[in-house]
Amino acid sequence: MTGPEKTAFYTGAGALMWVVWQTSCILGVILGAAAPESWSLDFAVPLTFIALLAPALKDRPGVAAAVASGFIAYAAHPLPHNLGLILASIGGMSTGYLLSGREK
Amino acid sequence: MADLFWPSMILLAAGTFLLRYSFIYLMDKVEMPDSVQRLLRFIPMSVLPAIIVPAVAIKSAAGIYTLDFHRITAALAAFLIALKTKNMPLTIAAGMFTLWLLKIIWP
Repeated sequence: MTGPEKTAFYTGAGALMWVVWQTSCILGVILGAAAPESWSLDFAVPLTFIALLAPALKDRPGVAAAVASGFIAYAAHPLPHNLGLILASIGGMSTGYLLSGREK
Repeated sequence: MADLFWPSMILLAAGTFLLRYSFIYLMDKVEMPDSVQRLLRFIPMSVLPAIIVPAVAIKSAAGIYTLDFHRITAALAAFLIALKTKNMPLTIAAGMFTLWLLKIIWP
């Protein structure tokens, strides 16, 4: 695939994805406001991330990074401005980095 | 404040675009050292649990934080299903049904 063809391919794919994205967001806003809170539909967000996380845990440093990140996120969750998430991400990445260096 | 709306929208759009485009632009031009590549490899395994764990485990009512056992169980079930079958819609459906089941059986 030549250069201009690549650009055209990317633009087309991106444009279609953008349309689907915006439409889904609008539908989500309208229908989401109408759905009752007792249905716990907001649980679909962490479920999606769990479905994304499970295939990514392939080796031991990755699992350690995930566990460390989970612990830090739980401990630091009262912090304002989502600082707990940032601390957990940094902690998880550091753990994975250190453990993967040791394996080599 | 309302008359600052469109300028701030344009500023935010420009900022987001530059932030995201900078990496695409620099990708071919900069050779990243091995240590940085190793560090970046762990981003999904760090960020995803950081989002999942507070959303699943913690239920806050009027400023008091308690453990949410329904969601923790449903999330564990969904996690096991995701490990066994790499099927995303199945995981989400199974986790959702587990949560509904638990809420019906034990309120």
